[in-house]
Amino acid sequence: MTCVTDVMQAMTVTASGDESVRSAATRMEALRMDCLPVIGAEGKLIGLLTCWEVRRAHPNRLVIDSMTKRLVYVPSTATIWEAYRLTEERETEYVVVLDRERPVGMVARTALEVAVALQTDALTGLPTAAYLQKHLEMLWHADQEIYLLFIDINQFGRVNKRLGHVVGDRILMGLTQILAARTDAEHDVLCRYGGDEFAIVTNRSRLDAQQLGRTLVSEVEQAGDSLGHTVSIAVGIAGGKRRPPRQQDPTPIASLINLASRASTEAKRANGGILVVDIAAGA
Amino acid sequence: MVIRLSEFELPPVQDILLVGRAAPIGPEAARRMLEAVAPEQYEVFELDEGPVGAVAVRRRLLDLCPRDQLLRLLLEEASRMAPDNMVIKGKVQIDVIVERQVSLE
Repeated sequence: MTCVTDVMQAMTVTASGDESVRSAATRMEALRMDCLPVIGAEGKLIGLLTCWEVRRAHPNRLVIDSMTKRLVYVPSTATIWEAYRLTEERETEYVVVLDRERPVGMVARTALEVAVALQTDALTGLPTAAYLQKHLEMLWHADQEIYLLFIDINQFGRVNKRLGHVVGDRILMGLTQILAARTDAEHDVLCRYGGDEFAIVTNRSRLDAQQLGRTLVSEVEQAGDSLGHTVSIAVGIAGGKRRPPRQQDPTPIASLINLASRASTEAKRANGGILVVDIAAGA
Repeated sequence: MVIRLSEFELPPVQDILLVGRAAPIGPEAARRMLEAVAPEQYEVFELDEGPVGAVAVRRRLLDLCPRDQLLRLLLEEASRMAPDNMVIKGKVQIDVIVERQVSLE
């Protein structure tokens, strides 16, 4: 559930600008709806009547005199994170979803909050694998050179068994802070991929991505005191530029994630900490 | 049973109508009502802030007094007495007093 269309409500029930707030409110109550799109004389969307306006307005007022006319639009291709950010920036409770410039639905900020929360790791507060995949797809389709750093904590299962899961969770949170401190929001997106796995999607250059990997390996190794336990990580890096269309992998994102994941396993075996694989080489 | 009959004045509004922001009717309803009972005689101005949501003014008043000045005066006086849930009608009389000096030579 990562696209805004996954959580939107269609505009099957509407209000007319010419009807009273009382009439529209009765319909909202009967259908348990918090918001009605308001359709004007030409069949176009002219506003939204939300439960806020219904509470504030005199029931005798026309809907057109009570609705919110300031509409915020989002394309149907937007992610739930993009739509949620928009509701915060524009201080609105609803956004209207457009498909080829035609309104096709609306999404409540509360629905977006829930959807985003479901895609957020409860322990670390980081986005989950679903967000990582969406972000990778976006960069991929924009033809950007991208690298995925797959970060695996060495022997973490043993840490959990020896010290207990509560300590293990604290280590994960501490590690999150270290990783987050080294990532730059302009270039990198840090996610928790799995139990003891993290991932960073970056549009840095190959050299910079490698350097980031090395820095993270080194910093984690030296962070025994702050983490309360000596921990080490293995980093697999895969990426590059998108190949020409005729050679394109039908599932490029899945392949990229697999490559990076396998690279981190190889790095772990080789005890080297970091291994880089280019997309073409890994094919 | 008592039946009281009296003439319904047309238009039912005198010179101005101040529509409160939370009044039982809004600017569009006021506009449609005035246009129905007194076509082309009134102009409705919607306001962004304050307890008054819209002001309807008889057009001939705007010929005698600039719009911004008239609205400012009306809102200054109205805001003292008009809560935002009322619709208030009013009469405006504009007198132009001319004083001139003439030479009798």
